Amino acid sequence: MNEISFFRPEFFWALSFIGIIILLHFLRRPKTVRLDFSSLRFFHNDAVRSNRTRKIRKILQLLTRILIVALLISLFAAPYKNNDPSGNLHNPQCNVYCWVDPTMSMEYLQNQTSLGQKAHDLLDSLSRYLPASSRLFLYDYNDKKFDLKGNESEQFKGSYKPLDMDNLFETVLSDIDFSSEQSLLLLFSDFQEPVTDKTDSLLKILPGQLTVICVPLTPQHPWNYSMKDVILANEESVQGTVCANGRDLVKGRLFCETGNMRTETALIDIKNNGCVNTRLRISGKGNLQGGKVVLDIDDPLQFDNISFFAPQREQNHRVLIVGNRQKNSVIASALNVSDKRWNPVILKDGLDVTYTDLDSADIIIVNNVSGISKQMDAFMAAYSGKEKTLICALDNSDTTVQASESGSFTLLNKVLKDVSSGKSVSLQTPLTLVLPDTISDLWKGFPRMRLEEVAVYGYYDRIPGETLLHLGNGSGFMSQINDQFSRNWIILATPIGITEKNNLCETGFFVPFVDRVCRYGIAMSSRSDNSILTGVPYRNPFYNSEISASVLDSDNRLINMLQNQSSVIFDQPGIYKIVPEGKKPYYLTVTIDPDESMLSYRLPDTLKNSVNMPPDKLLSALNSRQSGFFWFLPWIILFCLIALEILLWERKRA
Amino acid sequence: MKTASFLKPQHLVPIRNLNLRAKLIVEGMIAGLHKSPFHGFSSEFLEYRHYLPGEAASKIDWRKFAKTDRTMVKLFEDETNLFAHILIDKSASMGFASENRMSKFEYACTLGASCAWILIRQRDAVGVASFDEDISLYLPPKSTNTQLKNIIGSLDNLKPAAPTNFGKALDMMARGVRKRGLCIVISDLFDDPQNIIHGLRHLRFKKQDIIVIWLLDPFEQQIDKSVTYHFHDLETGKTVALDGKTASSFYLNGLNEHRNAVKRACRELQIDLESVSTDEPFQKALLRILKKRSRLF
Repeated sequence: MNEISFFRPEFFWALSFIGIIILLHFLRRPKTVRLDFSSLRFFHNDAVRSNRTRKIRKILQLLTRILIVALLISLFAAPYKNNDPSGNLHNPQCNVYCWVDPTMSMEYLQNQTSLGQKAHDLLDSLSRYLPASSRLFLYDYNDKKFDLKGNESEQFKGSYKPLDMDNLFETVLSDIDFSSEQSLLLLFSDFQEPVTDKTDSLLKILPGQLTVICVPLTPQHPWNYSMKDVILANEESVQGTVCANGRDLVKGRLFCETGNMRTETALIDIKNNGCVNTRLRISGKGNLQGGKVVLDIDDPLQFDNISFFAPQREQNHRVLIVGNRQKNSVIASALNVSDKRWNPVILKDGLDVTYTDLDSADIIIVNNVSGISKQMDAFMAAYSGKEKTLICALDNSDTTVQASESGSFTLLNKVLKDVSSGKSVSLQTPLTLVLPDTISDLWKGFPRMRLEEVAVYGYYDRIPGETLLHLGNGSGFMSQINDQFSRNWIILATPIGITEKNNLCETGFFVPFVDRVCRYGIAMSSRSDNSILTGVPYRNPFYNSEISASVLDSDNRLINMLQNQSSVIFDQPGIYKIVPEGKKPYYLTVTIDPDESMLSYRLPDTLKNSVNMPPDKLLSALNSRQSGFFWFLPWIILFCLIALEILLWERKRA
Repeated sequence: MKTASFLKPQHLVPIRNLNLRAKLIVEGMIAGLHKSPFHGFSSEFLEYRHYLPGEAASKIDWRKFAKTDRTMVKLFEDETNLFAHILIDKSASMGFASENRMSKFEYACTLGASCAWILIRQRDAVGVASFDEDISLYLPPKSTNTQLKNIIGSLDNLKPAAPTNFGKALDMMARGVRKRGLCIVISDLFDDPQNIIHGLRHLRFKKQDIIVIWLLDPFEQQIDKSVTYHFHDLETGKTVALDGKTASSFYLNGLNEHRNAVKRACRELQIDLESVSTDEPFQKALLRILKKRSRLF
């Protein structure tokens, strides 16, 4: 059922005129006189019938007049269907807030116009057709606020930054006063699946007073060619993947540039929805500083036709060990001696851990923790990234009852629900360790004889997750599990480091074990060393190490200095040179998020206060404000009522 | 003719004495005339006689004097040879009066008395009858002054009541008439047209010269449209509720049809039909009627 609302309900005060009409009707009603008359011979039945008809006509006339007035007032009150969010487009008191998806996917060219430009053209139309009293705001990505849109047309330029809809919705919630203003939020986007997922979840938290119109600018028959995953195969060649989506790629010209020099050119054919790995020869000089591979062909999305490559480097990983510093110092020592990549290794007491420590670490080891800081507590409760590996060693001296006071249990209880189902086990006769296999990435080539030196006197029974290492009695010693936030956890059934519960740190097993576990943790994390994305913070590898580094672009211009800052953001794709003090420089490739070239689109779910409206519908809704049966109906009724009133109106005879 | 201000009916309402009313009307009317409208109305030449000294010189027939050289006076036959009946409708409908006006019956009585006054003054024999369903009063025609008193006295005692049966009443009247003469019928004619025509035809058959004075209240000619009425029929007692517009529309249509039917019949029967409204001055109404009579004869 259609529910009607009114843009100007204050006009309904005028309904009191109906009272005046009724009052006038009764006041003007002829007075009744009783009359002794000479003869009623001329008043036959027809007169009585006619009199009755006249009475009905009078009542009809009154009703008609009331309806005419009511209808006129309701027309002045500007009705609209409140279950039709587009109705607010014509609301003279409604402010329209617009957001244009700034991502690179909006650079998709359709009929020589990018989707983003199409969105801006729509905005221009919107500003022309909106009621004069409505104000049109456009979201500014840089200032993170809504600016009043002027009359001038704007050119769309895609942003290399990742999509940040959280900020948009925060601004909406903070900038719009829902109690006093009627507002409409227009989202112009191609609604790639990641955008839609985000939109769906955020629409649910918006207040009901805000009407949202999603304007999908999704291409009709999307197609795209892309060049990706280019790496140096060896000193003389690079390899990468060329994909054709939506159309066959015929004679695509592929070439490689290193140091401003174009090297080999190749032609490539790919069937629709296919990918081909290709290899191009490069000169040895290019190997030193990287280059780019270009797919030279016209397609709707151009940004993904270039892929950068740089020489691979040994990258260090920050390890944060949270817990008793003294007892954990052996873990740090083991990491330091095992591989240079574990650098730096930071020891922190559980109560001293800060956000920066947690944020900058690649691996977080929780061992011998007596308590955790509020920051760590909050980090664990909210952080949902997949880039970090968390290794947690349970202290077998804890009991289930005591678990609440134990740092490791408190931590795990927050994220893993079945961790407290086990119990502490103490042994007189120590147990040794048993590898589950020797072929997996974790244990391949691990020296087995060293296991025999290990003696475990106490452990925590029934650790959750997939067991990676067994005790001699078959119980799990180490397991891997994902928590509710999809984070990777490696759980150990007994503390490591200096402890009475085992002799791990005293054996030759300890150093390779710790190194393997950390490598496994890094492998599990989805973070790739070379996948630095534009607009995404890149963790400063020299943070807290008192080493500063210069960041140079491909033309060797200094663009940033990495000092004691935890991260840096690269705004442009390309190859960047990092020059740390006293160390060998290395190169980074910064690319645009490859998800932006995905041709996978989905419309947002429609909620009570949101609707999807394609551009043509939006335009027709704007243009045809005064069309459609709903708009004409009151006027038709009004015309009929006036005609009826004229018919019912009696002319005074002379 | 002098068109001096006439006595309006409403001015006569306070005068309850019909005799006085009639006198005022007739004298006021005759005072404004150069000559009597009734002179020659019914008089015929009889003989000559000698002029007697002291008589008005105007009475001498000068033509005779020129021929014979004798002063002679012309004598006419007495007016008593005209037998006039005044028939007054006393049905209940005649009792209707709007806005404190004189009722139709009062007007009819006054008009009738005035006519009687004029006729008796001319020494014509006048009789009066009043009717509703039947003849309820009948005074045979006489030309004496006593007759006038009797007529006025009788009319004074009448009250409008009972339904109308025009045809029957005039039938009865016609049966009693022996000589040719004049009948003045004063009525609102609220009866079936065929009935009315039937009665008039019978009287006409009896060689009566008929003047029908159709009396209507102004309200009956123009019903106020701005009022809703609960009509109560004075004759039948029926009631009907109608708004002014409907009532006016239907009433006027009906009245016109009725008038046309009566007019047509009167024209055929050579009856003089005169509509008089109760707000019309008596003298004016009388003069209009009598002037029309003088044109006809």
